[in-house]
Amino acid sequence: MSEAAAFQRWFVGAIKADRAPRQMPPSFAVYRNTWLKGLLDALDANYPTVAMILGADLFEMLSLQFARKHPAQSPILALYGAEFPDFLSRQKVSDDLPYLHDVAALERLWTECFFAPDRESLGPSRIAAVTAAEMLNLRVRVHPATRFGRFGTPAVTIWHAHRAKGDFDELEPEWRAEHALITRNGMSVAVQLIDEATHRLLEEIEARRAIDAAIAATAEAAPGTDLAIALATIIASSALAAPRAEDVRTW
Amino acid sequence: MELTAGVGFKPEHFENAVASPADGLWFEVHAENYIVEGGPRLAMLEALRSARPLSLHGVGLSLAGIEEPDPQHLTGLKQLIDRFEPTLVSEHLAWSRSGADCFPDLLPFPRTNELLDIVRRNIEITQDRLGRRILIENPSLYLNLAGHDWSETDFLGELVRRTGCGLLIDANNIHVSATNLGFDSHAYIDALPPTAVAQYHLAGHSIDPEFGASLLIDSHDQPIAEAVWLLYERLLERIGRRPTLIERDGNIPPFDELMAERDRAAALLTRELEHV
Repeated sequence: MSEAAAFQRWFVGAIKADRAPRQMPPSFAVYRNTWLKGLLDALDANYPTVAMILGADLFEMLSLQFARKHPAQSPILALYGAEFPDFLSRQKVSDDLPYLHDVAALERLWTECFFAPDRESLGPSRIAAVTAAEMLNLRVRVHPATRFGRFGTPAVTIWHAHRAKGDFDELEPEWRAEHALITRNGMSVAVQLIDEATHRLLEEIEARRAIDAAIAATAEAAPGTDLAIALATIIASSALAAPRAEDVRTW
Repeated sequence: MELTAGVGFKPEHFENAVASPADGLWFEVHAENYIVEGGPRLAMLEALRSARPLSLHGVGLSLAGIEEPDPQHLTGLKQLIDRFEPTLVSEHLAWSRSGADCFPDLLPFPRTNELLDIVRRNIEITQDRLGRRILIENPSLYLNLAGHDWSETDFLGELVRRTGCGLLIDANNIHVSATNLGFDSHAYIDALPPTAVAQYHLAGHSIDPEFGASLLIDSHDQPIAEAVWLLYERLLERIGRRPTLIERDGNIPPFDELMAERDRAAALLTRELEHV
């Protein structure tokens, strides 16, 4: 190995090690601290609600443990911390806060939505120009920034209560599964609590890329639900991408 | 518009930034914060760019790393450059990658002949891929490493000679390194190759809470120290006027406070112009 390669390999080992090598001067701590601080800042930016729930000290302690185990794999930290929700679910604190993983997973979807590709959405104004027959002949795609998820805990209600900076000490959400729709609208990201049918319809649209087939499949799986309302919610949220020329079905 | 003094852009300053009437004002961002697929952050940079010139400052290419620059990262940087047409593009004389792991820091190395060749190769790969000259910034140092074949100024000068790159000289980094490693900051400035210098950085540092004033940290979370302003005046005197950036990354003050530092730098630049 070249001298330069040997030095850099040794240096990385020394900044990652639990303790600094004995021969290094105290100022070596600056390097040992700085790379971790960069990762902690990235987690702080990407998981602000988790930080509020845990409090600054516990969040920092768990973030440090996570960062040591998960060095960044890219110099771009916007999407750092994908494994953080699963890491949290394995920590003791999750015994007391069974919703912690789900809130973190919701924040992850928020971050993915924020940085996802730009594309025109199929909003109400765009849809007004499309006839019902044309609509059924469009290959419909979920917008690249749209995310949706099902959570086994009331994570969406808990997330909203913290983001609203309300009196969440008093929060006693009904203990049930919740579904979220995360969409980007202009400069902001919106997180909505949606019902199971709307969530199912989104899954079917993503899989089938056709409104008619998605509605039929959802109706079969959940008879008696009002899919007109579900579809209206999806469109009003700009959750679908505006069709491009290649999206017009030709059969 | 001729660039005078600029400010590191912070999203919370967006409205003030685009509304500022300051003559010659420009902005700099860390390229890595904007190498993303889409969304509000890029939209905001677009609006800023339509109002003012922009500089892209890279922190993650790891030019002094033994591996070649990551092609995917270079592609992201090239796309950013093509979209935003920055006036200046810069990186650091440091490394931050080892195998698959990236360390959000600027790590030091012995300035050996071997490393000179590695950094030369990495700058050439970068400039070829980006299709333009880049500026290399002098780092803040915290360790007196053994085994240097080159002084930092000669190392930088040699890179300029071999690759055609320019230099971004950070007055605060000179002050921090000179204090931590015990060298003469004035002699350092006098040894720089003046014609290669194309930009200055000014920033604040903090004093290490444990070791006091003998260990300065390049924290960018304080106002610029008077000692750094003095070094800036010496740079203007010895090297000349160049676009100058006020960097601030922590304890972000209101926009007007940053602009007060920026106006001080702009006044020194103008004063220098009148003397020429």
